[in-house]
Amino acid sequence: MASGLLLRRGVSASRLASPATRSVPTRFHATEAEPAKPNLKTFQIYRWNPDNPSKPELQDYQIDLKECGPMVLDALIKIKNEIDPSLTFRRSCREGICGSCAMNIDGCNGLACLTKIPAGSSSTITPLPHMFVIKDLVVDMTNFYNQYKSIEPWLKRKSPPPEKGKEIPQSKKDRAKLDGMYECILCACCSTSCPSYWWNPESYLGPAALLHANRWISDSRDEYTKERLEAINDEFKLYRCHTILNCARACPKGLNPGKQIQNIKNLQPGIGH
Amino acid sequence: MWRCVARGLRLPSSSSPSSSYASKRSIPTAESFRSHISRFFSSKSTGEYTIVDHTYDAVVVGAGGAGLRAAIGLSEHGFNTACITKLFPTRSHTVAAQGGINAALGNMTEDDWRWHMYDTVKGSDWRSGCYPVHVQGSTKSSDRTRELWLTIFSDGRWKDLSAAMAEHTFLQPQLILVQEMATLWFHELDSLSRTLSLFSFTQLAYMGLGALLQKDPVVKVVSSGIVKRYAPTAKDLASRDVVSRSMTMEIREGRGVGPLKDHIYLHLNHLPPDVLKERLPGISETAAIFAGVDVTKEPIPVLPTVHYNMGGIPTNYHGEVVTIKGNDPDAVVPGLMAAGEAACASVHGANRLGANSLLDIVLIDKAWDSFHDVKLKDRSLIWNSDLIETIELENLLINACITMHSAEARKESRGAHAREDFTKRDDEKWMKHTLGYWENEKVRLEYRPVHMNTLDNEIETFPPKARVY
Repeated sequence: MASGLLLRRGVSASRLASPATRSVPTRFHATEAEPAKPNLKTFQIYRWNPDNPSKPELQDYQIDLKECGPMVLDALIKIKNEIDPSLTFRRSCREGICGSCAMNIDGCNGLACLTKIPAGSSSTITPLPHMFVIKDLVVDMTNFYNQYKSIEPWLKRKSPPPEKGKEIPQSKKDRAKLDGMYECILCACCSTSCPSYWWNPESYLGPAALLHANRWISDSRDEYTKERLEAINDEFKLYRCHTILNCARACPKGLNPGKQIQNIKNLQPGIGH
Repeated sequence: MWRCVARGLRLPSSSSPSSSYASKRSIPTAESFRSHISRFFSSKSTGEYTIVDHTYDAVVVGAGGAGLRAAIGLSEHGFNTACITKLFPTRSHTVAAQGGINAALGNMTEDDWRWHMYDTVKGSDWRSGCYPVHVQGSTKSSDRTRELWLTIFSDGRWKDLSAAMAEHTFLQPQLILVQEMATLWFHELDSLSRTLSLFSFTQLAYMGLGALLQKDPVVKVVSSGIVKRYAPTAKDLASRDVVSRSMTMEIREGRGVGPLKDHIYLHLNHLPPDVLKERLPGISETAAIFAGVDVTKEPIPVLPTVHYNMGGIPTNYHGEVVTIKGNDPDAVVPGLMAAGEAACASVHGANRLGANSLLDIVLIDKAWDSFHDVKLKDRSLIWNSDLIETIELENLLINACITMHSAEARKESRGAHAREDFTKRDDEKWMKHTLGYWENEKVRLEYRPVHMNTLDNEIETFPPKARVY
């Protein structure tokens, strides 16, 4: 577990701004690079090797930011390519759409590919907090995926489509109800930033799975709304959310899972109606 | 790192390829139970490796759109199917597609699937086979895609597939390859040919990054207008290779922007902000993050980059892999199918941009030679991304060698395959598909004919003519 490393939360004040405003990078053009004095920065990166399971440690890597792209992922790839090929992390699309490279950067969860390299001479990169580590920055997502699966994230119908063999239509207005949820890429930044989830990682579904539960509850084409609400009407699955809202701060897509969880609570029988 | 997604055990509803095996499982006897269990636990040790054997009717390699569709279709029809992928399925690259699916819907203005078919054949510069495009075209209008996937054949066998660092072996399944060509593991498949001379270049990548922008018609309509010099009628709505080449030519002739005049500005700021927000939210977000640009006020610095590999493992329109055997240019390889970007059913034809191939061919052969000096530092058996990336590098270099040799041999310009030394299309000599083989670290080329006929009399063939937009 990567617990205990969370004490660093809040180190970087600039990252406390909302996701919409925190990414205001300066323009990066590879072609504008010109030889000048190096701009060195040290990355302290969490290392743990399952083949030699001693205590995890932070390893220092120093790179020249003048010869590096603007994002944390650029720095990690540069370190892996040029300094230490054994450094292990997940990455795929490098444009914030696949959700592979979620990690904790200077105390805040985020996608390495969308997070600008923080200012300052040193930054700390650790795995997603409170997750079992497989190797270095790679964490075990099994429990997270199982929780997602448990909310049955697919369209469920009782009646056949209006026209046999055709799609089920949805009005523009009904489609707009899914805004703020369909964008989720399951990176787990929100769930692993949530103190309630740290405390009950198996019994509390966590913000990501609950956001998706509300995505299907809100879908005008889905006919299992009542059953979906019943299935998560549970002291632990749903009501461990205490609206701490770390989820909204962590989300790299600018979503607000806490708000969606509130919607589920409001729809439960006897509450708000 | 490699994830194995096994569908639940189902009784086969139709005769399965491995009939003896399937019949064993159709009755819940102790023996069938054991075979079920053995799929997960049977293992043999080879030195330090533990190898787990799996038996499935079909194995799908890759879990993007094509892979998952194949896996669902197979398991719905009772085939015991495994889908292996190196990424959790929601992280496959299909999720990055923003352009939607082309179809002749006719719900806004008059439309016809035949027009879509003509656009596709013309876009390919007449190197699409008319068979596959005919299937594609009619698929869009009559929703017959599913039927394609259910064409499973019973007499085929492919050799065992090793996956996941040789820890898992899949015993003689029907194999369906959907993994993107460039990183597909070819060690088991070296006898396969690849059609690789054609890479698509898209017109819109962020300067300095290479991340692809959305390929939305709205973007094309409003892009800078230089394309009209090259495509006076269609202008910015011209085919992707035409737009990319226009941009490249403008930059090469010194009309680029920036300190090195090496990119082009894409203006979106005449579109109302609410249109940008509703129709192009992805482009607005990525432009802000990666280029630091507010698309409502500033232009986005862009340049063309590699986008899609139109080549791939040659297949027919059923998705069966084909190769040349004797006089038969369409001989089916038993037990092996390919789909998605891995495949080349000849839908896309020749939409590729390539200059300087003669120079590149020298460089790429040198790059291959230097691959022998590559060393591995990480010796771990757990999550060894160093090893995976080295294997991927090997595959990429092999594919690059085949691409360059195929392109150099094709002495004409066709679609995205653009040569400055051979600027005209040559239907007499080059109306054919290139097949590249990797043999003893050398490239061997062969050629298959392009099928110009359509499937039935519903639509006539389109005779080749000059491609003007």
